[in-house]
Amino acid sequence: MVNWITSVKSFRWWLVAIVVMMVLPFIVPPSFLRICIMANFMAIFAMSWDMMSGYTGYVSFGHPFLIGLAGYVSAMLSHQGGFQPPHIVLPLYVTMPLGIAAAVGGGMLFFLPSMRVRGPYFSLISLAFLMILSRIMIAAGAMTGGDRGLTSLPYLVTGAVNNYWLSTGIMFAVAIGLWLVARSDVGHVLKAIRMDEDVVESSGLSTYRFKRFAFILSAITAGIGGVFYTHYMGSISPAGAFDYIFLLNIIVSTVVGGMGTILGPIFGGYFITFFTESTRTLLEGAWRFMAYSLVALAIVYFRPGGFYGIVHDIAAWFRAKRRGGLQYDQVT
Amino acid sequence: MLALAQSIAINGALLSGLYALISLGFTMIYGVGRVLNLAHAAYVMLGGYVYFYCLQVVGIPEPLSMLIAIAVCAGASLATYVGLVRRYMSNPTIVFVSTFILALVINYLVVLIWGMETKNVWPVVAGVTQFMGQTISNNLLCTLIVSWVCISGVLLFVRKTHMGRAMRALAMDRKGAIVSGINPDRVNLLTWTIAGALAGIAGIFFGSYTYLVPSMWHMPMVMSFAIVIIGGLGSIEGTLIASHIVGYMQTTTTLAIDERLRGVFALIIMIIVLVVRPKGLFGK
Repeated sequence: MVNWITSVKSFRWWLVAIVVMMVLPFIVPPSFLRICIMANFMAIFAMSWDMMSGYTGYVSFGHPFLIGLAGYVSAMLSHQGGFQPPHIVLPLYVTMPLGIAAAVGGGMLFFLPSMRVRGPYFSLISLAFLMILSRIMIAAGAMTGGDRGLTSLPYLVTGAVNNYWLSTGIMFAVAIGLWLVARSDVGHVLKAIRMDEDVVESSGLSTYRFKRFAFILSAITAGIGGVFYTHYMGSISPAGAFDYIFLLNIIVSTVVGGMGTILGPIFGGYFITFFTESTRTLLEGAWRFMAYSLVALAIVYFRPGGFYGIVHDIAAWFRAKRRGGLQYDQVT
Repeated sequence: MLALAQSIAINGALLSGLYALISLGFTMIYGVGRVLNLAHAAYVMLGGYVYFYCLQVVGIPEPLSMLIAIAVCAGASLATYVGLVRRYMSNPTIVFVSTFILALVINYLVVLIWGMETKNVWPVVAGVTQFMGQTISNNLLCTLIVSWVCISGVLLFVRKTHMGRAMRALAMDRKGAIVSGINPDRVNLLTWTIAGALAGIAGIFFGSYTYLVPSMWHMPMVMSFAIVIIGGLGSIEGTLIASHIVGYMQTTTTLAIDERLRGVFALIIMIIVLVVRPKGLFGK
């Protein structure tokens, strides 16, 4: 049974976050909002990765597969003049759900069989799917635009402020949804799978069914992020959707924020986006990516728990001080 | 048609040999320490660039340039183990993520030092040989011979020496090996060094077989994954056979079907193997 008093109490930080995000458009310029939009999308992708890999420990290198598939399906169906000769141009409210469905369907078709194999095997197979999809998207030039991808796609809303509201709304909806799941018993089982899958299996739970649940949630989130991101950018290309840097950004956002926490990846997404944007003027090209990779490496090496772990440790320390002793149940 | 078949036969053998060199180190590291080093293929690129720099920019004689390139790669691999991986040996997820980031760090290091444009490396051995009506460059033959000498050397080392037996013992049963007095850390140090050196050798020949470009490590990385999975993670014989399957497959695709689908068929085989026989063809 959920204790409702603590449950309501734990929502107060969400309220603070939502209020801050609602005030933001009135005090900062649109250029700042554009960075926030990118950060929102990165947070969605990172949470999606966290739901699967952070919780169950099945490190997925194929998340751009899900994101790219959703984006490409929606883009191909809504693209003016593409897809000849049937020449279908569907409205966005049809193509976007189809894109999300494609992410879930394609993911179930390809990733679920590979979730039966463990550890590094799963990671490698997911990377392989990513490579295959990216090659196929390049080779199927007539439908997908080949190397150049598809451009001038329809937008959902225009302007920085509108897009900010939209992306923030999706981000919070996804975040609160995943957060509630993660706090439930299912979340605990998924964490237990990460720690020792055999023990969970032998206590009579089907780990496969839990992994499948986590995967489907993750794929839905990735699909939502993928279609909205594609129609925010107005274009999609193999270089953007299937690049290693994109994959690195997703993983690093999660690890920097704290794996298996859902809240951490939001912070990680914001941190990574603002870090890369703020160094844009200071450093150029390869230097910027170099600095970024080194910072990411340092955080992974010195604080594998990410910022969430740091905040958690400090909070636990203060609580312990107030109560006059270490509370071991608060240290995860 | 005959010319195409011969071309596939020769280029396939060459590519398979190089892939075997790269994957051997990859699979040995996994066998001994149960971690995967995603930066492994980045050493291949590093080896190629260091060799190019020593030979064609600084002007160091060829054998010495090779030694420097191999030493740099072995050193980089050893440094990765000591500086990054050793602390998290019990947490493969962290090793996975951090070596992946390290691969990108090496990638940008190469971009910063040598730039994005392609570099042509002089052939290691000049001239051509006529063989079965085909003209083969001596460089290709040399690559083939060197890769097989290295592979045989590794096999002999693993089979015949005390240290090699310790490696196999660790791969078979970690606890049992430690109880028998094997120091896993020392074995790891040696394995990472050997793996780095093999990657360096592969890098030198890879560079002279094609050309140098900062994205050249992508394909070897994914292909060495596919190879160790098809062959069975940790199995040396499996790796050798799988690298020939993958090498020939890729050569056939490139020369006879469509260059853009390079690698796709190898990955599809990998997926089939994983579904039908998850431990790989020769995995235990």
